[in-house]
Amino acid sequence: MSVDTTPALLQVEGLAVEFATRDGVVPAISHASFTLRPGGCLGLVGESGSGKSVTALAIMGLLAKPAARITAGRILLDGVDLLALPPEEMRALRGGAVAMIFQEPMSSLNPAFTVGDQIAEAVRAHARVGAREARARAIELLRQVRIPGAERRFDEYPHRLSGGMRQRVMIAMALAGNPRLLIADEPTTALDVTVQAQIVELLRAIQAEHGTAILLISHNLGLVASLADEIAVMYAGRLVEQGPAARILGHPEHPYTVGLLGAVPRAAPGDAPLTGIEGMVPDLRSPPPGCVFGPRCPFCVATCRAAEPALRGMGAGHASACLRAPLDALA
Amino acid sequence: MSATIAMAPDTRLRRVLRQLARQPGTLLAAAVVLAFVLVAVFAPLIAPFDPLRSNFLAVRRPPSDLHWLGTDEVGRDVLSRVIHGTRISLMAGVIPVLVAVGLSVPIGLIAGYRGGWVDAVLMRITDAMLAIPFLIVAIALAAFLGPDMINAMLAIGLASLPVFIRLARGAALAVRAEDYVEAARAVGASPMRIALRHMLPNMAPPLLVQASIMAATAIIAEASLSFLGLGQQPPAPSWGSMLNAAQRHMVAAPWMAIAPGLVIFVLVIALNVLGDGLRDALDVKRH
Repeated sequence: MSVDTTPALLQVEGLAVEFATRDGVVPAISHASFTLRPGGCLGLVGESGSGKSVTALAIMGLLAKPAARITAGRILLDGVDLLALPPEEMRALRGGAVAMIFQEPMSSLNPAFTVGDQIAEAVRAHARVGAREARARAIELLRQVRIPGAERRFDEYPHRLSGGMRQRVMIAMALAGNPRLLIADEPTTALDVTVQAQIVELLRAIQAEHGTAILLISHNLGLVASLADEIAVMYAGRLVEQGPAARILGHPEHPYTVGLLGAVPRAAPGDAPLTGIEGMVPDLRSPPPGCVFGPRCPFCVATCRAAEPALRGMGAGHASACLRAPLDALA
Repeated sequence: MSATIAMAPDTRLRRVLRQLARQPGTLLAAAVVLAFVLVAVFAPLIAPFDPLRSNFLAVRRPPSDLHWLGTDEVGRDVLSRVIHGTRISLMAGVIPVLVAVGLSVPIGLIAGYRGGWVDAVLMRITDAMLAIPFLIVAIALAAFLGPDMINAMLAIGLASLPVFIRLARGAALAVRAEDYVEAARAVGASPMRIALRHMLPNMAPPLLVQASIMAATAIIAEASLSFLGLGQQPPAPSWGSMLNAAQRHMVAAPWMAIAPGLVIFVLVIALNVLGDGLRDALDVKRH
């Protein structure tokens, strides 16, 4: 998709994930493919239930078995298929080459141990170092995530820290194994707006200083716009549009992306009114025929309901799964 | 940021203690239990008489200046026997709990963590154990191994095992779903480490509460077994065996029954109040 020729760090090919539920099998992700180059930042965008987090958990090998099943596809990290790795090797990779931070910093730290202990544990999970060395490294990590008074903070329990501080601690834990890929699943959703900006700034600094690639998962297009250089838009478990961030944000070629952008609040006077997307996310057990976005799409025509459209190149590394793209002619 | 930055490092223990300090009833109960512990530890120093020495010149004497709680049917000092009996009764409260917790936590942890068929098998065995009456187990153990205090405590511990296993499993299930367990998995922690370091400490509160309640139950159970002659064997004193001896002299020497009965009552109430207080103090939802 990309014109960039450097070998991809992460390559997801035709990933499909199903969930066995009481009401039958739900295909959570259908044939999603995307790549992330070393040191880059890919924003995975979509509303709740679109399959963003499932994608992240699939990469981490943390999908809840046996309910979740990967039915097709490959996940390549530096060319190695993670889905074929034995559990022990996958465990070594988690927190090592691939790390993840979660949405809920308030509950993602163990209340029974100091934050320093938890970071030191993450350090020792991936390096044969003694307790003293692990402590020194943990304090250094606390400094790296810009926590003031790192030495003092080391011995504090999570309940003494604010949400923003805890998310910094989570990021420090994630950095403990010097990851090449950091998956950030809604890293700022639970935080205050001012703190959100600080965390974004921190992620940007980490990306720049360590060359860590970031897979940024969010429903917040503003956040994604400020960090990602590539964007992939997910809807109902499918990738409906992907390409360079500037293209997607400035010139979306899928009606769903257009809808998402229309729903982002802007502050400038004279802007267009906020718009929502009509209708609901479809029930994945019985998706609508043809294009899954069809029932909510203002441009939907008979051919859209005939067959599910595949991603189509729109030039400059931009691809859309809309039969009617380019949309310029329609509006 | 919280407003208490400058204070000494805060710990969960400290928070729980602070919470406990706000409940006068719990503090009083803790003081009572502590007093019993001290009495047990220093029994030989406190007891005015040898609890085993009989005096046939002073049989079944009512309370007096010399024998504050009277004497029993062979002239032994009731106060001294109650004091020495504290050791047995406290042990009867602690050892079965240790047996039950020690066995149930690993089983519950495995069942809750592994889930699936492992969980199903372990839980069905536990259900089957629930169906065995405690007294039958105690009598069977006494029949096979002889009536003695250790066997009685073993029986009490085994009898309460299924309740503890269920509790430990429930706690493990609840803790396993916590975000920090998922986060530990995401940093590559091994299953053993997740179970022992991340799950076990956070399973402690409900088990601690149950243990304090169980200690009270176990003391009653020891008294019952000793009363039936399956626990502490004469002439060593235990509150249950003292009651057993006293029943034959209820009318002539009621003080023989009143003293051990009263201390059982006080200790059991104190343990139960302490358990309730712990439950309130450890309730994470209140913080």
